[in-house]
Amino acid sequence: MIEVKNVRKSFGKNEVLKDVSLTVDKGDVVVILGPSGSGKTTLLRCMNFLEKADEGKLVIGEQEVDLHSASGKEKLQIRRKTAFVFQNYGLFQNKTAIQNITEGLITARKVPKTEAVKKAEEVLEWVGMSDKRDYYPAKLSGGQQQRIGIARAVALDPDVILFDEPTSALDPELVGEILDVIKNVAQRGITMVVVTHEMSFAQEVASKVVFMDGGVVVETGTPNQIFYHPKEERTKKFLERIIPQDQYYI
Amino acid sequence: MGFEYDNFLDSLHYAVYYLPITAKLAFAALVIGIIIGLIVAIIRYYRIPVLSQLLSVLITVYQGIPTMVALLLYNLLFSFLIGGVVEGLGLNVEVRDVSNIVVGYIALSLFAITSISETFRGAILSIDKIQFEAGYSIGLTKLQTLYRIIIPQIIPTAIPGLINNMVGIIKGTSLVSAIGIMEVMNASIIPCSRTYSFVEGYVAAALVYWAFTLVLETIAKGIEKKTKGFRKQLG
Ligand SMILES: Nc1ncnc2c1ncn2[C@@H]1O[C@H](COP(=O)(O)OP(=O)(O)OP(=O)(O)O)[C@@H](O)[C@H]1O
Ligand SMILES: [Mg+2]
Repeated sequence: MIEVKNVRKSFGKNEVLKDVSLTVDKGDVVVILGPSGSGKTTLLRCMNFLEKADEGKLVIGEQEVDLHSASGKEKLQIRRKTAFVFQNYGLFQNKTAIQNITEGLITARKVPKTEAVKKAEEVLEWVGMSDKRDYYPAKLSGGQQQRIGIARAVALDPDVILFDEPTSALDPELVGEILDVIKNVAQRGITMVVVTHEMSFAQEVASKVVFMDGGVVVETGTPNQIFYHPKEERTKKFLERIIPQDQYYI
Repeated sequence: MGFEYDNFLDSLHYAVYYLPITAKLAFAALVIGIIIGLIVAIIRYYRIPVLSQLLSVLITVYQGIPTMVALLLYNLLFSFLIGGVVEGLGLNVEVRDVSNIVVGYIALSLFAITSISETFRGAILSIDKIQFEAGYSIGLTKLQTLYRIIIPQIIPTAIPGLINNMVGIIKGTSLVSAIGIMEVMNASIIPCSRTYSFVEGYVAAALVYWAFTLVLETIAKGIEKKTKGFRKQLG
């Protein structure tokens, strides 16, 4: 189980996260929704120490760490239990597709090279990128890069994968196929937290939907509860804007 | 002003003979400059408190001092220092010859460090922050991220700048002739003091520096091609 407790974060005077808490059960697919600027990205980044929270705790399994004052060693331990899929893919430009995947296994986790390569080939096959095995990222399309980004995260076999808008930098015609890859990850039973604006994906795949606005969690529930029976006025307003009325009442 | 071909050959002979000294000075400064310059650039990139600010001030000040002035200053300081030590110990040693070359190495290395660290800093700044973050996110340490991900990416970016730095260092070696080190510049005019015609010596020196620089530039460009294979556009 993963727990985020009472996270606060300000950028200067701008209070971006105001006491955010979140529980993610094993195998959960938690989808975080919310308007632009509500703090979704910042929350994910704080969970991976890419941003230093002002306050807050993170529990992963048996381990609890302080999101503000974790030691270097604790950060490393947490990062080795998690993986991050970036909006802009974040592939290592100096490494081929397969090296991007093996790097975290070999260098960070000390997995023997042959084993790492075997694992990487497996996930490459699974995301349909075996033929691009030795390509550098600069030679791959956005969709192909994100497939590698997802493969890199899955290969690490983490306790949770954090996705920050994994499809919003892609050409519209590629969004569907990448969402399918992510659905596949979910079907493998991997715990995930996904920030996205793709409502149909959320309805279909999420086990839990979290609606954030203005740096707080406004409402949490099953997709059914959030999409069809929202309790909070702010959630209703947001959904009305995002989802066409006819679809809303299906 | 005539040009005596024989004298020119004579000068060229001396210049080439002393090229290893110039090469040693340049290589030492280049290697020290690359190693320490990279460390300085990284310290400044990470804004490591105190150290970072201190380096920034030192580099700004140092860049405002002509290398020649620095060189002459060190030379004075150094002979005072060594002279004092030798006298204090009551030794009877001729220190000038030893200390000159040391001063040459120090002055050129400091020049190399300041200029090369700026090249590396620019190269690091040109790298997308996501490259660091992706490294951390897969569980690499800061150091692992640096040498596995960042440094391999900044090298090809930095090489054109490093070539400029290297050319500057090679030119800089000619300055140490001013403190009496026998290298290409001083050697090439040895025959000239006999004939009182310096043009042959200067042309010989120019030719040797130019050829030396050209060879090194070609090597560096070869390295650049090799290290940037991962980029889309080659050449
Ligand atoms: N590095 C930063 N420095 C200063 N302000 C920041 C920084 N990162 C984010 N912010 C601010 O924090 C707020 C929340 O940003 P965040 O990126 O977390 O929102 P988001 O919910 O992910 O939005 P979007 O849907 O547009 O991605 C915004 O007001 C943003 O301007
Ligand atoms: Mg965001």
